[in-house]
Amino acid sequence: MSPATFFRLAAPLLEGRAGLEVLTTTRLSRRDTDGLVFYQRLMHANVVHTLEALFPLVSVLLGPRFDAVCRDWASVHPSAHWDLNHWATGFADFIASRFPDEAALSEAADLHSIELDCARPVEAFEPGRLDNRTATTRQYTHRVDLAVRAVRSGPPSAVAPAPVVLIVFRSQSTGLVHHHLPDLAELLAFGLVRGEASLADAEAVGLSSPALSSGAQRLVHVGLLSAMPTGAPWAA
Amino acid sequence: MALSGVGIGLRRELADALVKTSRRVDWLELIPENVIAVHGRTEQQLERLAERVGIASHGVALNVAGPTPLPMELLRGIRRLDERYQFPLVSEHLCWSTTSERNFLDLLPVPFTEAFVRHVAARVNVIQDVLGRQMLLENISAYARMPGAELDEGAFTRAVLAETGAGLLLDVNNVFVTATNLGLEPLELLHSLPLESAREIHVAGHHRRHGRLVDSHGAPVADEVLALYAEALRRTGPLPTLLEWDTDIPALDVVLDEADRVRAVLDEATRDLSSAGVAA
Repeated sequence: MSPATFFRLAAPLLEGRAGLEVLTTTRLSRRDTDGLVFYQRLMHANVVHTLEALFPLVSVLLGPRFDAVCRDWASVHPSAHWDLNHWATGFADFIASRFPDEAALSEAADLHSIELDCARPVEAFEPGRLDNRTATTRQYTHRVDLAVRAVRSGPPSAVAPAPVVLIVFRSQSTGLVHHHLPDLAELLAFGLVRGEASLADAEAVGLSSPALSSGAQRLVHVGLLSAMPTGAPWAA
Repeated sequence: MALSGVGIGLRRELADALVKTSRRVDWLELIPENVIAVHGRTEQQLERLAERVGIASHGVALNVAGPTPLPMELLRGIRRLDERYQFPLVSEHLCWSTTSERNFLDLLPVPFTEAFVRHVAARVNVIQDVLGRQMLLENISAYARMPGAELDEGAFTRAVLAETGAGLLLDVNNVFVTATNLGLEPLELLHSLPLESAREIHVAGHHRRHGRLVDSHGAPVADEVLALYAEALRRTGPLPTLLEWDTDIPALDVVLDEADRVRAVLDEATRDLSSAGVAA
């Protein structure tokens, strides 16, 4: 059997897309065919384990449903990249489309996605390039940041429905990812410079448009990242 | 810095304690995929540890025997890490894990055929050319034979090493797990491997699941594996040995206690070989 033939037969078999009958021309013992099925089980377990590590709050919120969601995700959007974090690409959109009525779930998936995005420095593969995307602003209807912190520190907690605007950022000095609940000046300054925050963000925290003074925005932005708190990985 | 004694895997969960510990740690082994993109505090920890002990590289994602083009971005990243930390040993697994459509998130065996010897050897030669050095290839744990085998694992591995000049990373736990799962004698499988090319040994714990042994790296080393390790050392002579612990990672002291247990076997084998006139 040539390598090309082997991979053509083995890949769908190991994915569970083809049955063992594809191997009828080979002489495999029952022990070995059982072993191939065992590989299928291991792979599903590894997909669940990977997505659980990347989206811990989503796993908690979905509970027993998480296993089936992972199976569906892996069947429609498998990653071929060597970096396991690539399994996360698009998962938040998948969750949002599958559970349109569960805002806390969609927001939790989104928060984990931007954490991962912030955590990955680009200079690892482009030495000398230092203009990493280090921070993103989000407006949520639930305090998913608090629930994420609770999940990471032990027992899961309920996700409170409460509007919040977050900056998720990676500290330039420690390399760790944090959540930061900005005051309005920080939020507006960050949003104007990055083009990601909007007046809706400002209104969500009770500010009015006159607060958008360009001088103040520049001033606050200069000190923003250096003033961020540091601490444990993924600290809030 | 040549490696000797018993090292442990450098894992994020252990890094803080490793920086602080005064206990014996002979050497460390990192997974390059996990550190290629680190910076800040994690990078500083790595620098501090590298000043104290030798660090080897043990990759998991090059897809050495796979059908897709080699991940050159990753390969060049490993080379940059090697230039920075001067790894005494660089290793990967003799397996495949990825097609053009999917990373299977596992280390999968290939059929042991002459065609696969040529396929794998060509890719290993490219890897060694890019790295500019010899690499070691590890025998993996298997849960089934792949169809179409013409050779046994030992003959297949020997042929790949002969075609490439690569060395063997002998994983003794994998020998035990594979042999048990495939109905082979662990000692026979061990002796069939090209032990004369071994440059490093791995030991680890395993679990039993659904009637099979799984190479979980999440438990103390089984007594049977330590016995097999002692037998391997009689054939290879003393080699740097790594205790792998990657799941359900306990406190550093527990890992180091286990490393001490492995070191006792290594020390005894070294003494026996010395008294028998075999150079250590």
